[in-house]
Amino acid sequence: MVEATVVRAPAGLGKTSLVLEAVASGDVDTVEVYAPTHALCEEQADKLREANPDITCKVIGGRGHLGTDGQPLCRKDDLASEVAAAGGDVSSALCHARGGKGESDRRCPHYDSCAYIAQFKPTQVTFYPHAYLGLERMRLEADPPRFAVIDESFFLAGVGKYSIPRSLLRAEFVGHCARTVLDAIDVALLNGLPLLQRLRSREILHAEIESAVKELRGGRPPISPDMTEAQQHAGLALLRQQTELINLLTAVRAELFTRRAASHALRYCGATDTVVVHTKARIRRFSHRPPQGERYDSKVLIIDASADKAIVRQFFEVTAFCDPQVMRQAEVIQCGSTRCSTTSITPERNGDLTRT
Amino acid sequence: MAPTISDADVGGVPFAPHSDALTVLKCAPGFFASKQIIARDGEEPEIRGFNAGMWFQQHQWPVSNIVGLWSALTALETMPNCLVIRGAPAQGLDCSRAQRRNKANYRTPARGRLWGLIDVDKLRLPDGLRLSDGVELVCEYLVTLLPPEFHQASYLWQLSSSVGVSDPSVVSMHLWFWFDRPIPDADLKYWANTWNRTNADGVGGKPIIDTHLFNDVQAHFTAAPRFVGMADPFPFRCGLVRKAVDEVALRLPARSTQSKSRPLADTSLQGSRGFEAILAEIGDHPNGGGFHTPIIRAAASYVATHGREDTDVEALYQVIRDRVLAADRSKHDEAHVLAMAGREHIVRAIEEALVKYGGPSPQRKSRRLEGIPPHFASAPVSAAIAKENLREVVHAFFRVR
Repeated sequence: MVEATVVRAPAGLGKTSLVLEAVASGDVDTVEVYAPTHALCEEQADKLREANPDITCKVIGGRGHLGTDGQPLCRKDDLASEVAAAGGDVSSALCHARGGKGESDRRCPHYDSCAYIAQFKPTQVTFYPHAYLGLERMRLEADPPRFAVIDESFFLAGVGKYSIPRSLLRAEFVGHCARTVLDAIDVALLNGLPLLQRLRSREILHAEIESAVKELRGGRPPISPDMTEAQQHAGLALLRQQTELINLLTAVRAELFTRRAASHALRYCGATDTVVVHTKARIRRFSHRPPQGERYDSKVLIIDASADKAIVRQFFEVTAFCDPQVMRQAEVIQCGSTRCSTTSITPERNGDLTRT
Repeated sequence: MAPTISDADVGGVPFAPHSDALTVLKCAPGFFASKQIIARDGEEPEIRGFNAGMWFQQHQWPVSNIVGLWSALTALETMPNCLVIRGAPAQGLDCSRAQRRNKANYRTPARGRLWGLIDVDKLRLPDGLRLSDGVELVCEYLVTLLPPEFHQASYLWQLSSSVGVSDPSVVSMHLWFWFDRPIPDADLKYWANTWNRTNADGVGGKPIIDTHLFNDVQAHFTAAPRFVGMADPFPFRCGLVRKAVDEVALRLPARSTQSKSRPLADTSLQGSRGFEAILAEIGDHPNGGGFHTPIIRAAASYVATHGREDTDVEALYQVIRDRVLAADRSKHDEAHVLAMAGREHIVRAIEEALVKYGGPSPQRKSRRLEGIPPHFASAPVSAAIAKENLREVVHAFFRVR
């Protein structure tokens, strides 16, 4: 894990401003700043430009983000969303894939005029929404920066859950290795047995799950930029199912390192005959590990009013935890949940608006 | 099937009388069992502590004498992700996967270890003696602070990580010795405490020997520190000094009357009123609780009161067994009572109690969650001061390259 310095200080103390002030001084190398939303990224970028007009900075938008012309940055943003949701590598599937020996590279027809691709020109400071934290660094992106700042609580970007029908555990495309593991999981879930204990007793350990994952990865359908959209769509359904099984196995494999008998990552719902999978992403975009040349990790600073060391340690190696206690004149509460932002203040849904 | 190491492999009598093993724990990827010393412009180097993590793969390295120990430690010095503990894997521990370093997983063999590390921590050297005068001179000075049986015995020395980068008048050193017989942790601890009590005056009242190492899972850090931006001030950080004998015939002090080796007839097993009350419940008499449950509770009560070191498993087994055999058995058949009085049942109950309650705070189970350090809030400061402090933290973060 990458090392991180964590600052937990009350809201309103000026944590973000202090970071922007330091970045604006111009003395620092490349910096990436991660904020919860694209809008907050834009806001911070504006402040930085105001503080130092000479500094070069940009805000990275997703493929579906609307550009200045009101159009999504990527012309195939719908398809890109599907590929991403299916667990595919959007960049190599839709944008640019290297050709084999004697073959030329395959590129999307819109590649040269693509606004999404264009935004990855190197700058001193790059702002990203938190959603990028759990993603691998793409070939389009520059090497990891010397410094990375994560503003506000980020861990929700690193955890997720999804449901799959239990029947997927016995899907036909599953090969022999994966079949052994998934059958054992299926039996344990269906009979309410402690899953991890069951796997250990059946001698299904990390190596067996690793082999199952490799087998599933090996059977993934190829999707490349030179295919037609129809061909690309056709491969996506299978890709999605395989990715869901790979993530399920990866979650169980991580749990086998614990001593508990029951799984926390998988929950079976008998009423709907579905399996809920809880996942945790590894944040790997701050490690530079080229086959040759300098290997380094970005220095990461996390600034968050409600930072919790135990939670941050799930993603980073906490080397310093700065937690100043400040005398308060007022209690400031930051509302970070999107669940209470719009619907909760809709009068039709909540009756009395004054209460909210 | 995943390979497992049973008690007979390491915890029982696996080695010849004069051979032993080092339990080497290897950290998970990304963790290190060595300190990092980082050069700073115009300031003393920064010493970053150990971060060995929680999960370890274990390996048994056989050693049979001081020379074998030296070659093992020379190799370990170059392994920044390895450390040594006295404990051997517990019976049935699945050694094919990483395990936590705790007393449930690792226990020092009951017979003890043939090797011992004497850790001298931050001891002030006498005027005129410095490490720069020669490491051997300092080692010999330290050996003279130990009992006479050490003075003519071969030993291994290892410099502590911080030596050479902090106060030169203070030394931290590891001295490894090979004993003429295996010595259990409790005996070593008792010996060291006794020696510290009676000889601390000569070194400014500071304990000479750190007794924490005489423990099942206390980490013995063996790797050389990693130097960043500076050279290691000591190119040789460990060495072997051969003397007249290779084995120390350690003379253990006589135990006080609180010793666990007290005879059974003594009252040591009556130390807990709870224990006695629970023993009285064994049997089918009017206020009796049967056999199984009171036996489990009696073992737990005794261990919780006396802790691991003062629990004599054999003696406790005999006391409980006698009470079981003497109890009213009007509601149980003979075979059941004999099974309840059996070694398999009672000793297992005692061993499980030792795992659960034999730790350092036997009276009360800690509510701390393992791996989560306690949080102590600092004193509140004004917003202006806090902001200024924060500014320093942020600017320091961006300054470090």
